[in-house]
Amino acid sequence: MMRDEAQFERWQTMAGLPAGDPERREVEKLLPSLPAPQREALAATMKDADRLRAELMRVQPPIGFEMGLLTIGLKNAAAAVHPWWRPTFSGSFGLKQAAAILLIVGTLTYLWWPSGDLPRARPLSEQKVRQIADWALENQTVPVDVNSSAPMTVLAALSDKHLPFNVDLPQPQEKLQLVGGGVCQFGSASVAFTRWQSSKDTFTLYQFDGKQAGVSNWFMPTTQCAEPGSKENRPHTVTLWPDLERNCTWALVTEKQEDAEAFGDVGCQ
Amino acid sequence: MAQADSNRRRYEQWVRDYASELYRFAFRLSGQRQVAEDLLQETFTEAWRSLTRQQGSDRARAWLFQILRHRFAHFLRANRAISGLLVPLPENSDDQPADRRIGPLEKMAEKDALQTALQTLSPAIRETFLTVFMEGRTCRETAEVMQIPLGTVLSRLDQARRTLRIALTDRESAAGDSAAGAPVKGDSVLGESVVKGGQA
Repeated sequence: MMRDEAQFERWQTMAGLPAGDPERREVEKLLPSLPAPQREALAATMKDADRLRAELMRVQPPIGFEMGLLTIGLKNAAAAVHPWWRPTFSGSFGLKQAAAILLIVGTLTYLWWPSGDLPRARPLSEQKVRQIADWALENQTVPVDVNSSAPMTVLAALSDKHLPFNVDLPQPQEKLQLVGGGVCQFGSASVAFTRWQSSKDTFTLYQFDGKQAGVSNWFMPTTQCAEPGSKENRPHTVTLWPDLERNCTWALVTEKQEDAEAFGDVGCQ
Repeated sequence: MAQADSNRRRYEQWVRDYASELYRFAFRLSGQRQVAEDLLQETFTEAWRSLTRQQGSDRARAWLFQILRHRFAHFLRANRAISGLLVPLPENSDDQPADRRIGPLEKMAEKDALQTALQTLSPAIRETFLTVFMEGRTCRETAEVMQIPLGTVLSRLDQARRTLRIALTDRESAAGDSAAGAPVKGDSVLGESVVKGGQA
């Protein structure tokens, strides 16, 4: 009896492993041959493990944090010595050889040294930035399609639009109230937008496929001051940044540049 | 020049492929977003410096996780005196009515019960648990990587599971949510309590 209990305890432990683990698969194979109470208990444990794993994965990285990794990683690397060219001096090494090595190293370093800039990330053209910024500001007053402060409701409604990218909702670091969201057009590009309200200002966040909008999804984050057409409105700041994980581009309209920080580190220089 | 380009491409690819899951792991491990971001920066900086030593791309993921674990160990050593302070304070906990319907995104932002429960585990147990559940290593691989016996891995996982179950159940009780009733053997207590917030 005791042995049975110990065996069952062991199965429980193995059933509590994530799906795909070989130990758990052993228990899964055993299930059909076990009595109903044991089978149900083990199945419940497996269900727990699956839900737990799914819940663990529910962590949203800050928007644009990959950009920071690339920037900081490369900047640090620029300060480091590349091991592949570090010379090894021995006692018999002559001054001329050392000088020659230094000359070669200097030349190669000058040519090959990582600049510290983002790899192959180019700044957008001023014209394109201005074009997007003006459009983003203009559309800040477009009514939302879905009026809701519930993120899941807005997210579900936008996902139903079948846009060519995975619509996502950011998690603002500051307390902002979600007002709603909708879909609008920038040229031929479909754009998902969400509107947020702070105690002082209204924010509009756009998400779109940069390629459709004439920019790549990989560029240097940038900000642009946009002058509204109407004199009643004040100038706003439009922040643009790429999102590597979601393979899309974000544009955020705020009254002040520092307000963009509410949406986390957007990678602006 | 070709070598430098190749290195940059590989580095960029690693960031694209693994940064998000490494961040999730780091956040669950440390319990703090700022610490998680710092750990990621240190991990990728070290990865860049060791680019030439890591030739195969097939093992890059495991290698990056390994660096992250080392960085976390350094972090713990450096902060041993204040490691007890790592338990995150519940943010805005007084702002929400108890009966408010909380969606997954809001729950994540405001009350991460799972994270709070995770922080009650010792760093060694938490690391073992997350290595299996988030990195996706098998128990045997985890034992190898962490240089501990397989039995210890299984025991730590069991302990983690029990602690999470108790912590989450206590939280449910404290919140006055008695609808689920007291857990009994075989009940899916952990799953119920975790999922409830998302479905309510």
